[in-house]
Amino acid sequence: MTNIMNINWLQFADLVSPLGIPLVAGFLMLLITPFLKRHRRFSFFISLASCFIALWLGLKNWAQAQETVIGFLLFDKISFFFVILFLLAAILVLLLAYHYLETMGINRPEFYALILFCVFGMGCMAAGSDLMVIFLGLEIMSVSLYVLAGFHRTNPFSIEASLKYFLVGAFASAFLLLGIAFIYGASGTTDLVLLHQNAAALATGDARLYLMLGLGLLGVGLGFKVAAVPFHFWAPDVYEGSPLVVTAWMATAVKAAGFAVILRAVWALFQWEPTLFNKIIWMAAVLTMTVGNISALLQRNMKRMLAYSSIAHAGYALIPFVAFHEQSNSVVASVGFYLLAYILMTIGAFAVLITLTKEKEEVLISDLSGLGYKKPFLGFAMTLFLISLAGIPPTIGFFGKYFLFIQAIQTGYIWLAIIGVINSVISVYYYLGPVVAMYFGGLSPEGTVPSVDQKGAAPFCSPRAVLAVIWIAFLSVALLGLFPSNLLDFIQISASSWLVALN
Amino acid sequence: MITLHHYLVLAVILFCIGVFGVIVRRNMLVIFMSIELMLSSVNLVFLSFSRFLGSTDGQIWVFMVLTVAAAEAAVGLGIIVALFRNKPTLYVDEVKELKG
Repeated sequence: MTNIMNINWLQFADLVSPLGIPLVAGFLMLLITPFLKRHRRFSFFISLASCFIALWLGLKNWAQAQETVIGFLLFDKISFFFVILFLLAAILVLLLAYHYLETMGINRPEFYALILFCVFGMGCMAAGSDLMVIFLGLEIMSVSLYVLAGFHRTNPFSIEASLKYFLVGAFASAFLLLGIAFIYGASGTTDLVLLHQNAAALATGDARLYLMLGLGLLGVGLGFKVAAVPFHFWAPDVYEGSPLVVTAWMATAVKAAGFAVILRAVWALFQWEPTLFNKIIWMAAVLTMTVGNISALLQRNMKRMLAYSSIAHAGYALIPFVAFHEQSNSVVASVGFYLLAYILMTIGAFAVLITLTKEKEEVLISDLSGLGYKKPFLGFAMTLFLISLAGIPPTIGFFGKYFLFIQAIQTGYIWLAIIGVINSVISVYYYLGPVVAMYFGGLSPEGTVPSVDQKGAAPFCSPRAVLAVIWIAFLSVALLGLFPSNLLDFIQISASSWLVALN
Repeated sequence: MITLHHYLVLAVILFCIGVFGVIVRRNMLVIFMSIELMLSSVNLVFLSFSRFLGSTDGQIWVFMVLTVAAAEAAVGLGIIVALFRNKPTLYVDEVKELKG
């Protein structure tokens, strides 16, 4: 750790700006909006603008990044890659949010501020070089999320989701902290780089016991946060009860942030006994995939189905960790690629669902019926997103899964890859349910297509911002599915700089 | 002679009481108190390691944990108040609109 007097503050401000700008914008918003009449538009535009500026700075810093450690923050390419990922997700979610919050009558500036604080917390999680910053980032993110989950506070479902998330989240934080405390006890430090260098040497005598205990508890805490089986039970309820945009945010960026921390933690802490670690990861990945997919088969509610699907996707993303010891580089790259793919297709799917909501939160699969011919583009986009989630080529979801499974195959975990493929096949069933409803549901008995304005106004409303999100997600899922290699190179460069520089 | 192990065993017992409270008790405020107990026992672990390793990092951690616990308390009690306005109960068993 550098002395506080020796920090080059200008350099620090430059490097931290992709995280700092959303934070500052969030504070400013809370400060100014009470005095404004048209505060909704103001806060919407300010939050969006700050995210765009931060994204631009993030890309700039990504290009110039060297592995600078300032204080407790580690600014390397992979940190900036994750920050870019979070900012992208934030921009898409903010675009979705305005119209949705207006419809629900809860368009308040706090929402935008909380999303920005979340982005800051996630940035700290991805860029932390000490477990302390990672933990604080995690808490900044979680506390914002507890409030966001209950943002529709007159809706009992939303408040209940918030309460459940809060109780489970705080419970998990305590486990995570106890784990960190024991790791600290075993090694005398919580710095990730030092832990990476010393963990194996320290693992003797009492310290070994503490380290094992600490790693186990840390694993439980992180498992709760990314909803890995058997710590997943909270996810469906919380995802179902929260407002749709918040669910979209939780299912994508929050999960990505969890995996950013897992990547760092695995690199620093879990590599001194790879066989045991691989066994645990094997079990966790298989359980998470299977339980997520099997439970998703039974769902009628789209939000609940996507919640279980997000559990299953966390399981897929755990697969390559079995290869971390042998080829950490490509493992990090494949997880990064998968998270990006997952964010794009899931936000796309949620955007289509948002066009269907009208003052009620619930979206059943049957509500989608007829979308395919009433709104051909929405139907087609939704089909593409679901196909991509199922992992059928030529979409980005297919390549994401391919890169994940290939890691397991290259290191000899053939069965793990086979179970992953079987799970993908199971998932096709429930992903195609909505597609069938969209194209074959809602026909009148004679088989003719009912005219759009049969029931007065069409039930599907698609304002420009939501449509823009659907287009962005649609184009990137389709085009990156056709040309995935450039993107993979981008992520590979990010991953290799981190692991080469610090090994 | 009180050794590191005594402190750790005490902390782990407190932590387990907290976990037990979260799982068994149905009153939201008691669950909440149990979580606070868990966090306090973590502080005890940090302090005892800090004392016996002779490093001050653990004491800094305690400050952070206390701050976070305070922030969580503020948000958590706010959520409980908001819930109470919708449904005047403090028992988690009676809050089950979402199946699962």
